[in-house]
Amino acid sequence: MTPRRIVKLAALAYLLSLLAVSLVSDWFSTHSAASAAVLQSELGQAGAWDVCAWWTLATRNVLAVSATATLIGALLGAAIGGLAIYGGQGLAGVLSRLAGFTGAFPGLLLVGLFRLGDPSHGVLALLCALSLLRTLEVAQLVRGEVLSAMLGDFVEASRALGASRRWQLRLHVLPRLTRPFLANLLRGASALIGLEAALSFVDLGLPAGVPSWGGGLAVVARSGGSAPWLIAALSIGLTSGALYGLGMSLRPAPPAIRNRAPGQEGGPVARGAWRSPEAELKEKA
Amino acid sequence: MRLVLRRLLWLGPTLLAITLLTFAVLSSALPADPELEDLPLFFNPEPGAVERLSRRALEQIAATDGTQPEAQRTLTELGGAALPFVLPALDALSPEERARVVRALRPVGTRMGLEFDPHWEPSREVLFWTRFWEEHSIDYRPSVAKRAVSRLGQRSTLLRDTEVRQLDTYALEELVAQMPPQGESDLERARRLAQIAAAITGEIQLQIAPDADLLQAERISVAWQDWWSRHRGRYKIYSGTERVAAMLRDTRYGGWAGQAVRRKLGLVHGGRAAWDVLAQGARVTLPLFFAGVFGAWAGAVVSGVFTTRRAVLVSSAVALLRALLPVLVLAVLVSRWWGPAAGQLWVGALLMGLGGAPLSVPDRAQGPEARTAGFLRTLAALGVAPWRAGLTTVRLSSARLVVQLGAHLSNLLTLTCVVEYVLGLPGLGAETIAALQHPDLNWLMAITVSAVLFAGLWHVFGEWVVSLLDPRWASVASGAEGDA
Repeated sequence: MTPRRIVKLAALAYLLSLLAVSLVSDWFSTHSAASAAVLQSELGQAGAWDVCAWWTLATRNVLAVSATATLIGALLGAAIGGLAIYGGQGLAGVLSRLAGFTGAFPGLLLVGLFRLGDPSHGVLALLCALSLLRTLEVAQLVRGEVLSAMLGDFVEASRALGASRRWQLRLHVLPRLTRPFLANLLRGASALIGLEAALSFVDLGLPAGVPSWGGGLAVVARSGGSAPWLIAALSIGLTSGALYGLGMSLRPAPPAIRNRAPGQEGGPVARGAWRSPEAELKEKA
Repeated sequence: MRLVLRRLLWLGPTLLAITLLTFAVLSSALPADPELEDLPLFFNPEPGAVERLSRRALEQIAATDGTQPEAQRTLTELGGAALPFVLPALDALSPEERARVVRALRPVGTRMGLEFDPHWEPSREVLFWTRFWEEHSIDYRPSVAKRAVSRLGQRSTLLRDTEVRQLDTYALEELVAQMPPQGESDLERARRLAQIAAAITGEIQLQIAPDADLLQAERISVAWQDWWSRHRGRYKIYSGTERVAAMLRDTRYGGWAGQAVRRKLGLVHGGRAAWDVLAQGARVTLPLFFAGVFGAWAGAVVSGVFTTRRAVLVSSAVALLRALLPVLVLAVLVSRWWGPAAGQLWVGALLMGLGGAPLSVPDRAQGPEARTAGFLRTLAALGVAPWRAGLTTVRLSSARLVVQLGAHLSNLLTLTCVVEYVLGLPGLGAETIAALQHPDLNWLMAITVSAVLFAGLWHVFGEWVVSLLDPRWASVASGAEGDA
């Protein structure tokens, strides 16, 4: 088992267990005496069962928000990225400018402004802002990857052999897009977990009555309590790390540059060994 | 250089678009300023409402037998500025209608210092106003108002004072324009003008106290300019290019832009100028941000210099570790351990350095260092000394970092805000979070403008630095821009 495979399996197992936990969150909350809002606001003094109920609810909420934003971002981003290639220079320019606009905003400010624009100050604004951030990143990735694949020699050769555009996309472009696309989605989801936690920590994320890891961390940071603090911090860190690790495992293996002896096959040329053709001719003469 | 210029040229439209968008969002979300809620958001098709308001008030007062408090209030408020539209129209009204109108004009006349017979006699009062207009209509011109206010400013006499008071609200524009004191010796003039303006408008809190110093007088003068920019549209009538400018200026956005120019990006809570708060907060935020940049640079250099398989694994492990320990968790951990002692700049800088370092790591497998490795082999084959090859690697890694940071700028700024908030550092992040929790339009607009300018200038600086560090990037980027 390589380290890469170990990381991959551990991350998958952890994420699946989180998924299972979020599926049974309703059962935990119905067996808890307090409501979801009270669970979060009194987390510092909560008993073991209540902490457990809070954690399952928070896990469900955080996963739902992050997964939805990632999914929306992926779908919209792929569509916009594809359109940017076939829509000519105008659409590509608009995409580039849009990315410039959002890149100029700190994510915090962008989410905060969306939240202000949402009269309910609720989940919708958070989802919209997070989806927008993801959409533009995915769109740029898709455009870049498809463009680089379409410019490849193999695509040109298939075109010369009479392959249709659809055939080229199916056989050459999509397989090359899949891995970076998935890796980006997973890394993006990892970043969203961190961003959502930070936003909830500063009261700008999920509404106050909705349990979340960041919100819980903020409550415990203010009121004290070791176990909930540890659970919230570990949940944020492990989930973020698991998604990132999974994304990393999908990347192509880094090109190894072995330190072979100079002159050995595949290794560097001996220091100072290069001679210009003219110099070699002179030496021979 | 072409790219740098292009970026600079795009900065203006980007800034405008973002401020328009942000202002629209904030205006829809926040309760409107009662004095500005009648104004359109971005475009005013009918600027200069004095004629319309005067005629409407006149029609309402003339047509209705009973009292029209709203119309009377409007007419009183418009005062002298409404007279050029109301008094010439008296002839066209029936005697009863005229009587109602001149009764409504009594408070205006009293404010102008005109003396009326205490016994109400409509025909006599109509005659009085008709004669008044015959004699004084020529005074209701901008040049006359300017001269009258200027003369009053030079020296106060009863006659000069009466001249300006009789112009009433018609003289407000000149009163406000000529009010700013030019020095200590000019305080008396500013005080006189402020006093008359306050008497005309009823804004008694905007008078310059007898013992006020130059700073206080200047503050009052700016307050009057704010007042005028909000109310100008009610007292003026525009024509020509001024009308076109007023279509954009006499709006809520125009009002914000105007006061942002006058008040150093506007006043925030506590009456401080947003610029001052920005300058103060930047002393904390910028060091933290650049600590993050330094961390990222160090990470880029390390990952660029060490390119063996083991080094690649180590840097990947560092990136994974960073994902496992988000900056929020680290900051809360530090804050929990050290308590209030954690609220120090160097602690925040350390956290930012740790948080920023991995920004340069994630894409290293596809990054240019794979190509750089071949480049290094070539350098070695050419007999270049190791330290010079190392310098080349640092240069190329720095160029890569500048390009990557452009995309991660938003993340890095967010990290900075979070670290400040958690550690309780008095930077821009903490202010911004407070302004988002309890919305403050001026601060949010100010921080938006600053962030956009900062990001834009960073991109321009980045293009320039990259073209210096690695000319290959410049050719790639120009190709990409060409595609776009």
